[in-house]
Amino acid sequence: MNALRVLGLCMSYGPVPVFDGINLAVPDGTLLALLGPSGCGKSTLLQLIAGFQRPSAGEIWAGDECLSGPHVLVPTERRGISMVFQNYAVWPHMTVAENVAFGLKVQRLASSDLRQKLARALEMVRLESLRDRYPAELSGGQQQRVALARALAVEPKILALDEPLSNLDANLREEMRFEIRRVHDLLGITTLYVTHDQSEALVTADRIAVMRAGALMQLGTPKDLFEHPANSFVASFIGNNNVIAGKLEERGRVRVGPSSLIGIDTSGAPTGASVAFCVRPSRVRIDPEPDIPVNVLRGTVLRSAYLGESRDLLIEVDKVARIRAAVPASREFVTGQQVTVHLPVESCLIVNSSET
Amino acid sequence: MSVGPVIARRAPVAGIADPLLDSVRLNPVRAIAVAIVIVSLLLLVLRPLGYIAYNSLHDDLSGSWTLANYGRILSSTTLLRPILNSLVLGLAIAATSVFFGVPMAWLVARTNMPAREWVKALTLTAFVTPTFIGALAWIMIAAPNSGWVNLIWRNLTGASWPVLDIYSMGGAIFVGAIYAVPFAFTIVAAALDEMAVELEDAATTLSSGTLRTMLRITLPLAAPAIYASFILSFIQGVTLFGVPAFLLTPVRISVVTTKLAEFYQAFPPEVFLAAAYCVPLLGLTAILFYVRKRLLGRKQFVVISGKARGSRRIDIGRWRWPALAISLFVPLVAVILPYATLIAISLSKAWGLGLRPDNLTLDWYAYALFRNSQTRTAIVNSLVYAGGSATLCILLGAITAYIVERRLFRGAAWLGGLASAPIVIPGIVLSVGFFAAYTQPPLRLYGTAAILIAAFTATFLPIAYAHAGTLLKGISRDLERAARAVGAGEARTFVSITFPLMRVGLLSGWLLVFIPVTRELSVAIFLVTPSTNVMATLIYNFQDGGNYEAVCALSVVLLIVTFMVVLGTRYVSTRLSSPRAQSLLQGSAT
Amino acid sequence: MLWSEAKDTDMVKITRRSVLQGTAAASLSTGAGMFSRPVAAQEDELYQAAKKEGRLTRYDGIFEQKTIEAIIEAFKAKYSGIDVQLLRQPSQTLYTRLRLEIQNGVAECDTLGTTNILHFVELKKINELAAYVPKDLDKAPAAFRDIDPDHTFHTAALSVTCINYSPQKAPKPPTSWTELVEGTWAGKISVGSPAVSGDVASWVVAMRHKYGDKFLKDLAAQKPKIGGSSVDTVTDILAGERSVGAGAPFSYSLAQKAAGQPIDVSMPTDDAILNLGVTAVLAKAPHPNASRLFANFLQSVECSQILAKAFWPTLRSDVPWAEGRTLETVKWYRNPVDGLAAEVAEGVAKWKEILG
Repeated sequence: MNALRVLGLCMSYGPVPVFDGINLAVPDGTLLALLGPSGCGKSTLLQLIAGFQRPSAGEIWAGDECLSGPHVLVPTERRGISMVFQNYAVWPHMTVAENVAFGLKVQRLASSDLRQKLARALEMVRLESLRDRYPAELSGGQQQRVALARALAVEPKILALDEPLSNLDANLREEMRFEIRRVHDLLGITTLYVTHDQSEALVTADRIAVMRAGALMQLGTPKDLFEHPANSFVASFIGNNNVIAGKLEERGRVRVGPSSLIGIDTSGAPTGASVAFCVRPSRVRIDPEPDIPVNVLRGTVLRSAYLGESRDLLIEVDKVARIRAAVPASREFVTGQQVTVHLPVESCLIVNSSET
Repeated sequence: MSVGPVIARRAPVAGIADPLLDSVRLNPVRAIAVAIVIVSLLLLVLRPLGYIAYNSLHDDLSGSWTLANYGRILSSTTLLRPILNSLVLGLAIAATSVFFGVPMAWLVARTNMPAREWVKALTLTAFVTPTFIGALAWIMIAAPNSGWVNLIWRNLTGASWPVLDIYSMGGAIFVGAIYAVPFAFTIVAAALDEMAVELEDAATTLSSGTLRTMLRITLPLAAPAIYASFILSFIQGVTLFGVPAFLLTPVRISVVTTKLAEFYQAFPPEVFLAAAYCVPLLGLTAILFYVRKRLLGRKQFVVISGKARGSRRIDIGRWRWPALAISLFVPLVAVILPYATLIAISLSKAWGLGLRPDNLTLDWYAYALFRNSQTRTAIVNSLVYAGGSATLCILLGAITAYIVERRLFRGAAWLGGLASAPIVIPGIVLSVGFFAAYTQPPLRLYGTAAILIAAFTATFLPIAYAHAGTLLKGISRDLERAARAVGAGEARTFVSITFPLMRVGLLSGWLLVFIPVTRELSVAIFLVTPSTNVMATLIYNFQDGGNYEAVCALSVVLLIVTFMVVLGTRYVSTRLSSPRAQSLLQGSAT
Repeated sequence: MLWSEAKDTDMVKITRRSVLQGTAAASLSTGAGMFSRPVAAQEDELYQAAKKEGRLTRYDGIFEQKTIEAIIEAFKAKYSGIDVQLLRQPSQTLYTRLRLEIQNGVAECDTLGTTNILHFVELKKINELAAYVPKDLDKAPAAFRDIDPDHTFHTAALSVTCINYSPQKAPKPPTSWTELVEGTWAGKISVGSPAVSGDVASWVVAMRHKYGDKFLKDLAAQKPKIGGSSVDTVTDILAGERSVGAGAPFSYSLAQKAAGQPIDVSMPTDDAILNLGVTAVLAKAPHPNASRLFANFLQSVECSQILAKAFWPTLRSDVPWAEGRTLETVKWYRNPVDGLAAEVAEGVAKWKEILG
């Protein structure tokens, strides 16, 4: 059963289109990340799902109820979708407990029920000791947890989070990522998570929908997206990747400058088309054993950066492409050094170019 | 299977604002609120203004339809020049009041300047003073021959000419501005109070100095408040009556309001011509509003975002005391000097004799408070009408601002325009408009308190609306959305979230209306009857009869009474806020 | 009920009988006290009828606040049980308001008093005034007894306009109008404005009668300070701003002098100008009997005694003015009423043209 379905959703602000026909299905209990750069429309999509705005066309279904459609617009408060905002939106004139209990008060629960649910929500985010504090007395991370507890206290059908961790500092972000995942697993609640941070998406989500300029690029599990990106945008967006433009000579072979490179072709593109040749930096081999027949290029080291856990190399090959490689930190390279670069075929992917 | 309410098949519409009909069906509470607002605005604003417009198209003598009134105005330099003078007066007053008010607001709201509470209190006292009283006091201070500043100057330097001549355009601008500064001060300080400090921190981390931060970050973010106070001060300047009547008429400079007084006092009275004469002012102010809209447009001014962090004060180090000196300038010239003069006169048996030990008495206070029953009635009336209209203004203004800011239906902006329209009508003309609109059945309010409260509400609704709008602009929509997302409907959200967040600001908005009502003269002139007399008209009567001792005693009494109310509201405000909104209220302007 | 509320605008017919009834009052003592003792049991019918009405509303622009309040207090003391609501505003404002009221069918005002006889001429024309002969009208000075042959309006005050001055700054004040405008008083004169003040308007008309426009031109050459009401001359002199006042209020200046203020009056040898304060009962007065009682009181000894105390000329030949002045010993001139309206308009226009 799909907890959420988006059918042919279109949205424009006046003459400016934001998206034009998006389709999405979110199975019950999934944590779906909407991932994309700024301006791709992911927050707008979330706002439409939550009911803050009315779409220009298309439908939104939750279970078997139509929430938004040509003849229907269920108001936000009746959708059962609660939301956590980027800037927390914690109400400054109420204590933590009052913030979290607000939704319960609206439901007009019996006070014992209310107390119980409130306590459970606070416990879940570990804020019981701070329940009588005011938001101004809390740190950013604590405020975000208040927002989370508030959203969960009402036991929503769907939990929506709009870049909830963007305003937190790095350590806290990591911690909170796991926190959110933990809460999701505990409650089994269908969750929509908007973010621009791909590592966040990879860690927390069951499925990721990659968006760009109002269109859905690919929907799949983190593994799918990482290992089988549908196009060059997804390839470069998820994890580190070398994305080299080239022309498809034949299926599985791409011409890049003077060289011909072999890779696994998922593009389905016709011969002569512009495609993208992708290989992860971690798979790039430098100065390998000799006598490897294919995907061997000569290049010059442009930059060598010591990163502690690894070394990051930027190499110019054939004077036409730049390739990044991640090698063990112990290996030393200097700028200008001539190296041999090997791109193992099984790690190379040929995908559609997303530049039109 | 539950499906939302089904409405007849219709093409999808752009997703910005709900069609009105949809709203009505989905949200009856919203519809009722909107309906109440529309009806109130119709009664308070459209009807009297309609009568004024209607009257302007009629001839005073024959009563027939005519465009001749407008014709006369446009073709006569004696009628056009006062419009120009009003424009100059208004713009100069606005510029001056912003020039003084904004730095003062910043110093009081954001920095660690000493004696901030005193500056606030004194500036508020300036607010409480009817401007015509201020003008009278300043005549005593700076009249070219008899003003004591000039007397001292002549004594000191032996010069025969005065150093200050209050009977001049400069004098009128000065007096008008010092009594308009409190507007700018209150509005901008309220906006700065709410501003999250990290917005300025961001600039400081980029090594922007304090002054630079103030100019490039703080002020632009406070831009809505600054523009609002500029416009308000302009309108104040253009609708002033007492100041130009006392300071400019003796030197033959006419402005629109003094010209209007001429029309009303002509024999036979030229009431309809007067109605037509306000239209140029309406045009001017409409232009100002349009300019403001273009300038503020779609910029983001959200400063309360629900990411609360305590307010920290900027340390201005060795500038603290000079800043205080600058901040005290306005209270000095608007309050201390004039009231010293007023008190001196009120304690004189015969004010022409000056301050002498044998000329001192408390008799005038006794007369005003105990022997004159009119005073007691007038005080009570002033307070009741001011309180009533302030409350109405705030409620109506807040809801209207919400409807407009949140664009509850297409064309909601027109409501905002309607709520703002009366501000540009000079009080005396609005007075007549209300007279005409509410003296006949079915709404026969003449002679009652209701017509005065209604007229005052209409007069100051624009201020309440603008203030509420500024407050709302600063509240992030996410705060409301968060409530909607946990199941609260629109009305509940407004009551539990939006309104409480606005509450503190609204209290200062309440005072922004209460105080001007107590000092409002022109609106009251044609609407008061003996039982509904107010302090301002009573004082004016005494002034008209030359009884300055009584005038000064009554003015001091008015000041004290109003001040007690102000202190009362401060008490209420601190009780309301208690620890809960300390995070919101540090250094609040109320 | 002697005078029932007029239901139409026809003037009430005056009969000998009604006049006698109206004037049959209990005898009033003219003893030393300012206020007579309350009327004894055998009151006249008018008082009884007025008492039933219980109150009256007076619009007054003639007297300054203290004087009209004193008159009203005396009236209330003499005729207990009748409340008086006073609206004291400048004459022109009151007239405009009354016209607005009439236009809108409102009957608030019972009795009106202003310093502009033209107001009453107009009101009479539109049948808004009631005819009534106050008791003791025969005691009024002959010249001002029958200003309206139909008795719809009467004299309420003799407003004398003269020269005032500061004894310290102008020990030798001008003794005539010509001396004022031709003498060395440049920069020292204060004057009101005929556009605002009825008294000043009548003074300007009188000056033009005597001396033509040359007077105004000479006055302009003296660079006077122009205010509004004639009372402003007193203000300017007391403040020390100017030392001589033209078209100045005789009564008010003397009252201030008596209060110890440094001001005095100079009676011009070429006539002080006398303007009448006029009073009338309105045809649609809601309290017609009380209004007539008040009209009687204005003509009474008590009232004239109050006037004398406030340095106003009295309305009775049997009550002397203060300081021994009399109508006969003061040189005065009054504008003829015929053509007055046009002359006032012309005077105001000429004033604006010559003095700005």
